[in-house]
Amino acid sequence: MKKNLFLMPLFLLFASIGAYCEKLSIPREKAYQDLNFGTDPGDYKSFIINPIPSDWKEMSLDGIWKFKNMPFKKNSENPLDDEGMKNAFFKSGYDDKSWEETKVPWSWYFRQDGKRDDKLYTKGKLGWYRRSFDLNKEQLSGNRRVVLDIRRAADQVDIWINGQKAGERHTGRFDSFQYDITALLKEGNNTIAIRVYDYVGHENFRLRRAGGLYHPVRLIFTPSQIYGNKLKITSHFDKKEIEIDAELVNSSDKALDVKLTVELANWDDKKIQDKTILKSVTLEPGRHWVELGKIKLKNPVGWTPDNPHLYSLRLNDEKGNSIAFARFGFRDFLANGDWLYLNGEKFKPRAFTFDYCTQSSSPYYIEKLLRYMKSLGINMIRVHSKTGIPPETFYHLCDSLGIVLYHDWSGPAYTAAFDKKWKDTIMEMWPSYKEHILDYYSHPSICMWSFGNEIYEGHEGISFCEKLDRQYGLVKEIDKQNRPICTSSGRHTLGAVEAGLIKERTDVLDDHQYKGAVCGSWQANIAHINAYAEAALKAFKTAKPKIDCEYGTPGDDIRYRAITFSKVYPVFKLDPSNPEFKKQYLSFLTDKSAEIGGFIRGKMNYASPRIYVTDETECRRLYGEKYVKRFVEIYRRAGTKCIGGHTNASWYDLVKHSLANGGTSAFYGIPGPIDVKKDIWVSTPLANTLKRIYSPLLVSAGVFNQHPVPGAKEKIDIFVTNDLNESADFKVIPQIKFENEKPIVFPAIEFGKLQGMEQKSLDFSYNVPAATQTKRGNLELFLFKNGKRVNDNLYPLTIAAENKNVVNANNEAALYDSAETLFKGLVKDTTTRALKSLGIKVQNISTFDDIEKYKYIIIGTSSFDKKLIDAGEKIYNWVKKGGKLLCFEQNFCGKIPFYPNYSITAGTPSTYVSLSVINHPVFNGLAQEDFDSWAGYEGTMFDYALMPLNEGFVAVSPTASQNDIESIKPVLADVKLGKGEIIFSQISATKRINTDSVSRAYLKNILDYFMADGVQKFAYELPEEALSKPLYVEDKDAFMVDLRKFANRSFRDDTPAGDKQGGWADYGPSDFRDLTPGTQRYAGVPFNIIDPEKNNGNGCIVMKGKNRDYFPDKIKGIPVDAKLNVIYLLHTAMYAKPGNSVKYTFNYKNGEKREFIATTEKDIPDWHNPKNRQNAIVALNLKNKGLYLTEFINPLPKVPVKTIDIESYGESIPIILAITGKKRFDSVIAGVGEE
Amino acid sequence: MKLNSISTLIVSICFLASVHAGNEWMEYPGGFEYKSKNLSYKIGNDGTFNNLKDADGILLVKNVYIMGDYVFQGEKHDTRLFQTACKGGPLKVSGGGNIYQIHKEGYIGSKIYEKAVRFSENASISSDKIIMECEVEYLVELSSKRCTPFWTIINIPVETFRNKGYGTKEKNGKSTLSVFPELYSGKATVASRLKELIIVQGNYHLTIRSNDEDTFFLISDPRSYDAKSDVLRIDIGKTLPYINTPRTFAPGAKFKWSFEISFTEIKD
Repeated sequence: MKKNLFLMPLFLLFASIGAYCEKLSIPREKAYQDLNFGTDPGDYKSFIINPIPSDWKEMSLDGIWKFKNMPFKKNSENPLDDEGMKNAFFKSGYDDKSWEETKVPWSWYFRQDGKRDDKLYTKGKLGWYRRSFDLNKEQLSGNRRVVLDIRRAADQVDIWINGQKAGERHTGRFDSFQYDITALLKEGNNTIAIRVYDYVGHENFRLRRAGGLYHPVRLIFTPSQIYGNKLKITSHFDKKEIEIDAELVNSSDKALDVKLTVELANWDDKKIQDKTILKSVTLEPGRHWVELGKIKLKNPVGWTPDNPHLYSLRLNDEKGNSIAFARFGFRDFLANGDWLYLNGEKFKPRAFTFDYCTQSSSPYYIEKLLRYMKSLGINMIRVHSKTGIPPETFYHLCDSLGIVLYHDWSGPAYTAAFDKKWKDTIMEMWPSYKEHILDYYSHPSICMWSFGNEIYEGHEGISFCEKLDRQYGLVKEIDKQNRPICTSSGRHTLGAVEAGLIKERTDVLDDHQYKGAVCGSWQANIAHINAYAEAALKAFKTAKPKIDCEYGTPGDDIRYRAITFSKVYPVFKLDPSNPEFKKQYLSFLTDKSAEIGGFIRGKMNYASPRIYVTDETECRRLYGEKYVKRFVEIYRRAGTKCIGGHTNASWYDLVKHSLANGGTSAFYGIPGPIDVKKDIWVSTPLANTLKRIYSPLLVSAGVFNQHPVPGAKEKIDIFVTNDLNESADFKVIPQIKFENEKPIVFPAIEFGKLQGMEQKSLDFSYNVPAATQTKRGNLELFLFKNGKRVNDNLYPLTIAAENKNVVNANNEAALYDSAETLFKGLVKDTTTRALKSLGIKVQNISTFDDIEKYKYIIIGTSSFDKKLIDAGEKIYNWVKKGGKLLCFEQNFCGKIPFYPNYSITAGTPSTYVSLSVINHPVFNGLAQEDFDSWAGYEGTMFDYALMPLNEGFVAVSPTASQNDIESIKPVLADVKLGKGEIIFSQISATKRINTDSVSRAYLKNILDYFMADGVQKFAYELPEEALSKPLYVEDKDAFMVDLRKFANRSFRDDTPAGDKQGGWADYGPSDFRDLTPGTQRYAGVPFNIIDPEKNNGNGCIVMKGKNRDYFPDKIKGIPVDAKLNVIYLLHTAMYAKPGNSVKYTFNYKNGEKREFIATTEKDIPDWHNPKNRQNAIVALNLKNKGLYLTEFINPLPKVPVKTIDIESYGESIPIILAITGKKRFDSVIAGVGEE
Repeated sequence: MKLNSISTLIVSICFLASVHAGNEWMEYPGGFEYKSKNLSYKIGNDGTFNNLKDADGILLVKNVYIMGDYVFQGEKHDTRLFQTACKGGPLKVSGGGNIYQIHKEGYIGSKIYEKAVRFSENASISSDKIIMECEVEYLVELSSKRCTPFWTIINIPVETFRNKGYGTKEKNGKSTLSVFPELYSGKATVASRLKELIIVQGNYHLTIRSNDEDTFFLISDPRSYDAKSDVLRIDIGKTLPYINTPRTFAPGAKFKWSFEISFTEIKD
């Protein structure tokens, strides 16, 4: 009985788990799902614009207009002196038959069929529009006023009605504007002519889509002489009152009194809620902003994303005529402490940056898309300023759908085109911004302002902070809603905050950062968020809401598809061991274009481009599961350290449309090799992932070891995030589901009651099951709220089984592992211990004296000590004779002593390694996915990478942003050298061998491969000449420093030695007279050899040495002024004795200096009997006298080198013949972070 | 001359009379020599630590001293302020066995400001560790372009540490292993933004660790500007938030920092 009682609860537990077993599963997503968006009816009249009251009438002037494109002359004054003016295009009777036709509204930077056409992008444009319209007597009768309402145009507009100017020119693309044209109209046919001058233009397809009459044009007929164009309605939520300001027009020529009443009704059912006599006002003729006071509301309904209740507000005169009309929502949105509050309740953005909503996008699709976004759980959209301003439709839809907007103004995106910096124009553009705010004031969806994207000038000085602060004050003055202001989205970087550079007032902090996206790691991302919170509190003293409206994807692949696919797809389909694959792949990795190089490098940190094109569906799944999801989860777990996250994605990251319509993929070309039917809108495979991660109720796992070792006990932090404003009981049931196995279900983790906006984490521990074969599956988490399943989540899990091959090296293999002593006590996992753990026996050596005894040598991790460096040449020769060398992870920067064609280099280590030669035996049994986001050690997959990137690569990884064309570096290389082979592995596997089963399997594979007999076919044989030509600098990449002014000697000395006459180093005919002047390529690098005959007899710089003290010891100020990645020195030395020979000092434009001291042992050996040294390659050997090429890797490649100084140490005689730099190129990656 | 004689007399009296809250403060105008099982070094009367050697007599640290500077608009002069040129009372030591407290107060000045700042140094020394707390109080108004107006320099000999392995821990927790260059590598700054440096010396670790949250800690190679230099220089202190204009310190303003140097046996 007792026993039974004891078993009872367990039985119940398993019974309940068993019951769940049937239900708990996460179906694999379909690659694409039809979203049933249907077809756009194509009716442009459905453009949603400001509504008018029922007793006003309107006449749309949208439709077909006549259009004449004029030659454009950039002139900030925009004088009316064009041919159109001279030929009186504005006159009623002008014959415009020959003009082309255009739609209005339509941005003139797009083809009429909506397709992208690069030819239409111009840096400025001038055009004339004309059309006619008929008016009847009634439309012009009584006190009626006829108002021309242009909902927006870009950007300087002059208007004529029946040949007469309608008013002053309007300037500004961000606001609607109106003209009272009553006096210019006549019964019957009327003509309107509009001249539009776009000073800024449209420089590339990403920016500034607005051009010409890009919004609707209409006539409004008002019943009385007083009418209002704009209303400012401010909600005071806590006081249940609204405050009204109106821009009223008295179109008569005398002051008029008007007694105003206000009528409030529900927007949807038109039910009147309130009628109040407001006040009487006396209006002088003209246009005035009038404060009309506050009114109390009875039982107001707040506007929220869940219930976006809208009201209409009508101002009436005493006769009951409508004076003004607006739609609004009753809500306030404020920043307080760490939080944002909507109607007094905490609001946590689960947001998306909305990019590429074009001016020509149809309202039909915008609505479909917004509804779809809402269905995914997105509650906020940041309107990215770079695209210009979305159509008015967008804002009205967000009002009615309940989507909160973070409104990034486009102003700064336009100033660049004025050849000015934003800091110089910010106040100039204030009137335009002010009008924009007033125009958009009453949209309830607009909840936050930003003055523009990534305004960084403030980092340069405090004066710009003052301007931003002034603008902050001005916005606050006109915005009675006190909406939070972020002075610039992305401006408040960690560096700027830490350094105290943000001096202006700002209600919200916004940081854009892509750690983990293009390089770096997820763990670094978390560290960044934590450091930011600390720095911000220190800098600002008080807590401020911090959001990050750009992280994660810098945009989906579709941007580059058409061009990219046509080039890369055929190559990526090749067998990776095919030399052609390597050759082409290398060219892609270093390609300067955004479409190829930018695309490939940008993809590198989350999914192999190769997988992308060969298994796009799988790649998209990885992309969604790992890339976007990781960012969102990290930010959502950040609590008050970062309350809102926005993935920076485009709307076509959510949906795809295969045909040209609505401004999506059609602009970027046809889709790639995916089977999508034409003319339908489909979800990406992200759909379910996005639903999961944007749900207000999230279950997630912290960064954890996804490749555990069998038998280990693993611990995972499980987070439950309750972003609802209500408390509930939560529990999580974890299960592990391996392919083709029954799930292992674990007992529920009870989280108990979580308050609204509360988050909690609990440990989940499990014993890793045994695996005789590699197991792949997922950790699945199921979230229950008050007993009901509300969400789930999943994370890939691999238990890699190491191969069982027995590596038997007998006495033929040796290990040199100096880390055991060099870093004694600082490293735990050395190669010695790793080999022991894998059961591989080798001989330990502490010198290279007897390496001939061995067939295989392993250099252990972190073992590049002096002994090894000194033995470099010996090891090199040993390999050439047939030795096999395996070199594990080194924490060393510089030339590899036993193979100076390669260096080890630092950079930003990444979280992903792309297995470029995926069929290489070192990856046996492992998958691309296994080389991603390893746990521990800051999460990076390597500490130092290899260089250069040549055909020897097996796996590569990014070490910098994709803007840097040299960002991709090998982290695993396999090369044939003579009769031998060298394998370098910089992948940080050794230190994870005891915790990560993939690391362990990889190490076992690599040792297995290495210990096989003979050189393997995967070892790439670099051309023989590569040994003396380790590099090749293309002519176009070479920057040849002009030494002519500084050359002091010729190449020949026809007079006796030491007579201070003749040339070279004054050693008589022992000179370099056979050197050929002109551009010569030595050791793969082009150099300019000065022709002495054309340079006053001087061709080289000979400097002071002990035996020639009459040559200069210093040369200063050799001009360069270029950004250089590497500097190549062509030089030699006479009478070289061990020690420092010559010092090159590189003076940078920013005032910094870097020195390179060339020693005779390594860098500038004696010219007699020339031999390669560690950093000296024999560039030219003439009769046993040599010139050397020495490489200096520029530590500051982004800063231009201004000048070079050269100084001799006075012992050997340095002779400098030429200096060439390898130019740095930054490719412009449109669509990725900043330009 | 007369003043000096009086000063000497006062020092002597202080030496005889000094008593410190239960611990006797002894004055050491000629400096104090410390020796334990693992370490030996001399603390000068100016409070600087010199010639820190291990039990085998290998020089581990050449010297440890405070330095600072200021910006000055007027007459050109050396605006650097060195502890080695300080004036003030004698070195005070209390304790016994292997554990001592060191106290030094003094003034540091320049040609223009004879007493620019008052500094105090309090060190706790034991057989394998030195914990140092430094404080500078401004006596005149001075401006500094640096975020770290005063700091400590620790010079370690190249001879001992060339080609030796070391580990660093950065402020952000990042760990790195590296080897000290035998020759100047062209990189004046060897490592920066550190929190901790551990150098492997045989079976011991020489560890230098900042005790400040806002640590300023870098290793540089003076061979970058002086080819004959025989030291690697460690600058350690505390940093203030960055501002892009010189920061002015009024008389009475204080600036404190703390760090420790330890020499411990490596245990597997």
